[in-house]
Amino acid sequence: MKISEKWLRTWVDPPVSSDVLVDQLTNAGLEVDGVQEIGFECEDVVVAEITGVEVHPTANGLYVCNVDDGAGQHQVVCGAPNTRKGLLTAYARTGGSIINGTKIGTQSIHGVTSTGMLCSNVELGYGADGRKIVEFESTYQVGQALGDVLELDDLVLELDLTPNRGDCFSIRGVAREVAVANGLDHAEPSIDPVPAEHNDEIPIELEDAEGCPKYLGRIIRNIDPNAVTPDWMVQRLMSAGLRPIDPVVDVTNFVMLELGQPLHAFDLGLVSNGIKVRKAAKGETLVLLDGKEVTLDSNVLLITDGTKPVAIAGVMGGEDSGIQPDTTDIFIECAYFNPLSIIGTARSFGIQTDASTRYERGVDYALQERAMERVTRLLLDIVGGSPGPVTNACEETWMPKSQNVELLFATMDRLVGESIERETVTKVFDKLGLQPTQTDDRWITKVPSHRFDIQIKEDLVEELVRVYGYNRVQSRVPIQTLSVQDELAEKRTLYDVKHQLAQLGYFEAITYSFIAPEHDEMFLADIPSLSLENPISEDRARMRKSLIPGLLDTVRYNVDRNQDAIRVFECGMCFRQVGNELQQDTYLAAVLTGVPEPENWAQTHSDLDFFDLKGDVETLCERLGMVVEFTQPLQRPTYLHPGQTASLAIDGSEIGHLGKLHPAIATKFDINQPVFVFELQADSLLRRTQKTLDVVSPFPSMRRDFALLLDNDVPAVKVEQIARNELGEILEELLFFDVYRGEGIGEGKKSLAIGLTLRHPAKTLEEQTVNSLLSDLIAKFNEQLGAELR
Amino acid sequence: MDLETQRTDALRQIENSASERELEETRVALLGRRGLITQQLRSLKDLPADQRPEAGAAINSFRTEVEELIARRRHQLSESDLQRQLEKEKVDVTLPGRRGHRGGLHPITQTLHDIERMFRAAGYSVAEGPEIESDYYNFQALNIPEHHPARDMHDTFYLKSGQVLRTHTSPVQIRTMETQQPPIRIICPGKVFRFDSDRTHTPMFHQVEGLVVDENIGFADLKGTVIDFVHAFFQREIELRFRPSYFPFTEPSAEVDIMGATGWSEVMGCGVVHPNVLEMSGIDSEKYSGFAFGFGADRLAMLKYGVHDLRQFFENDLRFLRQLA
Repeated sequence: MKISEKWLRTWVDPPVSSDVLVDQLTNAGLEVDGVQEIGFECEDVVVAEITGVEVHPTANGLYVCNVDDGAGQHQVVCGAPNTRKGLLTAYARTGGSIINGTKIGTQSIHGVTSTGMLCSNVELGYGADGRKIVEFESTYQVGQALGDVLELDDLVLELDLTPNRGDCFSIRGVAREVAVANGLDHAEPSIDPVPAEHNDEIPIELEDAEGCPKYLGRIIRNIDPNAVTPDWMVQRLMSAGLRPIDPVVDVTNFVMLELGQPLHAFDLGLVSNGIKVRKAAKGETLVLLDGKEVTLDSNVLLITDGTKPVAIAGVMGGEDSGIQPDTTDIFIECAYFNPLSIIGTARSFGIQTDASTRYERGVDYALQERAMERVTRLLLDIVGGSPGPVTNACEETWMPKSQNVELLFATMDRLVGESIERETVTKVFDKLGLQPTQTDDRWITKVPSHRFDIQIKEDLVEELVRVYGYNRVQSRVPIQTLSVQDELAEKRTLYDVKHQLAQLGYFEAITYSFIAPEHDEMFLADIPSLSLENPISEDRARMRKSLIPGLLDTVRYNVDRNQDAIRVFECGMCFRQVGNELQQDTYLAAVLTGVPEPENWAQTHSDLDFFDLKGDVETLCERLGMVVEFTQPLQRPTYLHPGQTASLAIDGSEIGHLGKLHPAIATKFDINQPVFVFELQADSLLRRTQKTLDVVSPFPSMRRDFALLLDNDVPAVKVEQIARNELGEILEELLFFDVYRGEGIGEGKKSLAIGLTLRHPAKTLEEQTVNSLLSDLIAKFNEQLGAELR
Repeated sequence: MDLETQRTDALRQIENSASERELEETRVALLGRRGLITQQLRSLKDLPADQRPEAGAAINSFRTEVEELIARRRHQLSESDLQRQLEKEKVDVTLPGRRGHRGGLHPITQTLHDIERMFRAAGYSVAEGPEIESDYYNFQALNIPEHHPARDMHDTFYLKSGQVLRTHTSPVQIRTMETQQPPIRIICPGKVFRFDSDRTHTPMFHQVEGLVVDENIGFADLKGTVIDFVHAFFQREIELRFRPSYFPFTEPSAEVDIMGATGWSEVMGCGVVHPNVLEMSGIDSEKYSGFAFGFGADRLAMLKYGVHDLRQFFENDLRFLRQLA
């Protein structure tokens, strides 16, 4: 909300600077988000006298004036009806400018030279009377700059009000807070009832009295359709960011800004049969003031003329309900709506009005009578007319009641964490208008109608601390018992896992959890996709099922920036709908592409391959104390290369895959180099088990090397399994030290060179024993794998 | 040849042996089984008995001298071999070392880790929860009913199911309170999502919330905790202020501003937990009270590392990430 400092100071004028005032408001919880200096914004406009007037020789309705601006005489053409000799008016000199930015010069108007321009207050941006040029009283002096004369300089404070402080959406509300902060009283404008001059009323029916428990109406007849909003009011409206529209609307807006009560003026002809406040029928339509047609839902509260809607209650009037240029008889609405019946309505139509903002947060439920008299008085002053009596339809049952809220001293001390002197608290409550009574053990307060947000004892604690000063309350830290415990005994943190990957030379990326639909569809297509209803952009519309698309985006981003070695990982949640269950598990994924080692003078050239990736995964798991198995997967993720994919398992359950990215997927991401990836369930890496340590055998080891001739598709892991089964605990280490395919061993065959290190835990191995074990082993290889010794 | 001549010859041969191999040949020629000295010793028995002691002493002294010289020469030779070897192995130490790839953790991860470390040391536990939440946990259980104006402050992402991307990690507080009675001391770090994107807002960011519920917890405890944390995080006595604000789930509520180069800057929201929130989660609000706070870790990381555009954190430019490795 925007508020003029000048206007505020007419209500309460503490002897403090603007800066201090801004701090006071912020410290009271009315955050000042910005401060804007305003003033007269036109250039080189002065008070000038019309010293002579003649009718324009050719153009009808134009005058040719002699104008004295204090510096000289100028010939100016002007069309305003109030142009006359001796008038003191506003003159924009050549080189000056008016409010819309137009530069003023010399021009020929129907053959007559016109230098500079005589201006209306609309053209100068401080009034609403565009038909006439400005008229100054004789106390003004020719040649005075308008900026000096008008005294428009002001500060506009932009308040960022929190939803609970509906009471501060007015000059009156802010003035109350300033008064409390400075220990002053604030002035209220004198509002006396305006007596009725006739007895005309229209019936008001509250069909939905829960939504609208109070509705005040008043007819004013014979207003002057040619009246103009006075400059002072235009300036107030503009300081709050409103444009003048017509005098009746301007007055209702002014009272809203001043008191916080939204009002609406109908053309009486439109509602002459009466007002009925009811809920909409589903599907009913209404064209709003802004020309937009809306279809209404049955929860929308309407103002109707008895049958058809004329306004959405508390939000916006209908297209025809407003004042027309020739309207002379008006009906003023001043209602109290239950916030719950207004909340959400404006938003559901995608609009927010000054009225809906206030009604949603709540309006002082005792304010309507005063606001009606205030608006009547101002209307009579500005547009004239003859007021009828106030029709007051009110259903007390549904009206909010003044509440007594109690607070025990002990509760106050407990929730503040400090015992503030009882008298001090009582004084604060008193300043806030809470009419406190202090007993032996508590305060009893009577909450005024404008502080409908105060309902429970905690609200009183907040009020006290707010006024006493958040920064004055002491600081302390909670006391706790020191119990020795290890939260992380069974589970390591993801940080440990990430740290290990960083040690392996990977950088951590954090990508958005929502990704482009076309990327989403390339991964785990058998899992249904999860779309956002309101994505921030089309390419961030799906919740990720895998981390890999985000990482591939990262790869492309960095490849485009000439990064030749890219090793990146991410750890984060993925979202997989499995049956009725939405699984939200944390995954760990990495991508590896580019040169296998950083460019170096001692480089050994080779291409990155699957085993660079696998080596990293093995090292990672080993450092985390995980025993993992790699197998050819039964079901391969389609984004991986069919011949270079492994499944990773712990204790027989699969935790993820690693492999070469399918070249077709790489191409779709505009990546034209081999990429290797892995993705694992991160939670399975967090398990922590207590290890026991074995005694190291003191007996010597024996190493035996040999090569097996095998069919090409016999996996090495089979060889290892057989060796482990056969040799048991004496097999200390098994090493594959060469794989050979090609000349000399036949098509479809490979030679696998194996080194075995054997050691017995309790004795020295005999040459003979080893020889016999090995020949048994080789027989097994032959029997189970068709292997031959080479 | 007399002994003296033989001695001179032998010494010259030793001296002239240019390598350990040549020296060994010389040694064999002099001291080997068929060597000159060995033969001379053997031929002693041919001398008359009265000459033997003198001749024997001369040859033995010759032998001792030769042995000593060979040993000395051997030492000399091995020294110079080593010298040559060392000379050969000389490298240019100014060439860069052979290194593996550098890796590193994301600045936000490092920031979150620092924060977790500080709170764990103070006795807090770390609690986590799902990122897609029900309306109940994200809003209703936090005293934000449907259509509450405070929902405007959240800019929520919705799924078709009616679920939301959590707008804060407060749902984790609720889930904790539902399953645990006080004392509760947790922090809840994690990703959160809001419909917003500019230099200082990204639609996804990282929040850390804290919750303490116990007997006799008040606003003063909140202040002390927040002040301690801010000072610990920035590693200096930074000027900060508490400013009244509004959150449906706390009362009183406050924003915390810290003083930066360009004036106050908002870093945190906090307050005393609203009794409705405690009661809805099954905690007796007459017996217990608590405080909660929440802040964007990304924002603190920006302030700490001097980053001016939040979006940089999610571009994952290796040139950016490498700086913190």
